[in-house]
Amino acid sequence: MPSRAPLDQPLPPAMLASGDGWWVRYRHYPVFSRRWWLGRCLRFGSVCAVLALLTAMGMWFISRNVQASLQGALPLFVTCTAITCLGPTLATAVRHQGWPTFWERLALVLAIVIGVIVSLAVNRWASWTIMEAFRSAHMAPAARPSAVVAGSATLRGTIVGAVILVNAAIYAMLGGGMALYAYLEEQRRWENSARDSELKAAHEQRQQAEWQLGLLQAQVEPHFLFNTFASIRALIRSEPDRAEHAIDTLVDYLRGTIPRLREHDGSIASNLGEQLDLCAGYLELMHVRSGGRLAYRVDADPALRGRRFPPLLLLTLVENAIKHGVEGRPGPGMVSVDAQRTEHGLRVRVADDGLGLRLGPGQGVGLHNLRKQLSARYTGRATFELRNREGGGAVAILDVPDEGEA
Amino acid sequence: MTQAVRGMVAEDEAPQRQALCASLKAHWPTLDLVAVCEDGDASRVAVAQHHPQVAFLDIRMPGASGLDVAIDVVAHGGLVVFITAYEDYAIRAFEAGAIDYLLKPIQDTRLQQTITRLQERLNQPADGFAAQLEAVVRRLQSARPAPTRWITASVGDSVRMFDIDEVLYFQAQDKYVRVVTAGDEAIIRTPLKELLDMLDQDTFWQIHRSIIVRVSAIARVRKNELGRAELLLKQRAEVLAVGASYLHRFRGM
Repeated sequence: MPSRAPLDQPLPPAMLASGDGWWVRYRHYPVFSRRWWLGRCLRFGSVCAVLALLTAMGMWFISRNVQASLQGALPLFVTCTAITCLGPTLATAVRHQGWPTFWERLALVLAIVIGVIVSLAVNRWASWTIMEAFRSAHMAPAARPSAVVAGSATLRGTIVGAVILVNAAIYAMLGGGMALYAYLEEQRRWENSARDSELKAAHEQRQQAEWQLGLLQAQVEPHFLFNTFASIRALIRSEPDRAEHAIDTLVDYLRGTIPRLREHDGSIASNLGEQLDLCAGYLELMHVRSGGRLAYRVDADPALRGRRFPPLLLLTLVENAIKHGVEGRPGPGMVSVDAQRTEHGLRVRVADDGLGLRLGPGQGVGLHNLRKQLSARYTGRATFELRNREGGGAVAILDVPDEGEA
Repeated sequence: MTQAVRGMVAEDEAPQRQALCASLKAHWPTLDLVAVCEDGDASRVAVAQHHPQVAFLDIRMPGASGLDVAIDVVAHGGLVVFITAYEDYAIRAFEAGAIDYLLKPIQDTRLQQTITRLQERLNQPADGFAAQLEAVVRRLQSARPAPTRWITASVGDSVRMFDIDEVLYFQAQDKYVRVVTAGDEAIIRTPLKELLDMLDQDTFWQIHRSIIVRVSAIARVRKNELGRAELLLKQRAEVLAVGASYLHRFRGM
């Protein structure tokens, strides 16, 4: 995030103090930016126009004199617009200069002050013009308050002073004082927001790193590795050919678990073919270890093998099918994996003929993590379903969007 | 050691099972393998039938686990050796030394040590052994409970898995327990009491004889016209009753 808010873009949502109503929508842009200025002047300008129109109508109603009515209403519009827009206009011009913070702040205060002084002058001119309009319309102008207070000079002085102060305060507020305050707040919020997003980025990076580490650990689960070695050791003398085959399969499997990192961002590159091969290797080793008790099948259209596909997800499902499905039930077992293209992307299914899902609470982290990974990677565009199959066993169905070749 | 010793092997992976049997035959000729089993259920039947004096048991097996089988073996006066690939908490439990364990892949020299130890034990009276094993098994089993991560529940004819984070409350109804999320509900058969033990106690509170609710899902607690406490949820319209004996939970909230 840059150290200052870019003037041509809306502020990040976290920074917005006001709501989403029509009147405050211009505040979604930085204070004194062009879009802010345009939105603010259009809104205040239309209010001034409505006020002026009402005044004109009122005067016409009393005097039936179109020219005089316009003569009274027009200066009102000009003054009103000047008060509300002049300072901010100058300030917007200042902010777009991109001066250093200190000078920018000083210049903005000056701009608002100049705006207030000029609009006070415009007000004087307008008051005079309006009086003229009243006179020419043969209407008695309302007596000025200062004329009523005719008492002591000091009292009058005090009251005049107070009136000027109050006026100046109102002018300053309407004329950009509030905006000036919002501008200072914005700077503070921008810094907070920048810090928050940095924290968030760091947090996400850490999660990513932890996940990749977990991935490496999970792919070579010690239980799996040592059991496989135990089987190979057992086969060496009795069935050397099968032992050799098991070692070859284990080597391919282990090679498949070494993550292939993308050069540009260090993330893990993986495609469906690699993941299917990894599962096939795992299942082949389980087949050898079980002495043929466990059978398996992996089917996929060769054209789909190159599609991008997240690492580990599929293996988690296969491990689950073995651990909670086939392994839980004595006797032979079967796991089948297939992948196909659907209307919306890719669908991968892992089916087993084991115990099936048992109702109740579950403790394993595998599926919990799988859901988390899916939502982190696909944000709701992936669905995962696990259900019982007719005739026994369970099937896991994973639908993910097709993200092209990897 | 001329008298034959009744032994058994339980290991679900065929090559490993055969290799272990072969090694035992080679290193302990007087061991008579009365039963060689490939799953937990068959092992329990064999134990009841043959009363083995020595049993080599894989911990992870289809059907009953090696731990369950071990308890049976000891109940019939037998000795147990666990076989495990990698379970460090299990290894720690065995350091008491009463029973032995073998790490996979099983190496001949290590197996030889185990056999020697078993032969020594067989010549001694087996007092206190059962109690020791039971303590170890209990420790192994109690090392397992992990927090519940999801709930598998049935919705009509199908079965769905809910992440535990989705569940707002559980409500016992007749023989079932309703699992309620913001937009869905399903049923399980796990008794509420059992469920309570499996849930995180700070995340879920029992608020009624038949209701467990997610604390963060509670909008507020109020008294109804009859003076009974009831609870409103953030994401559901229904009102849940709070049992009088659970009210203390909400004091000072």
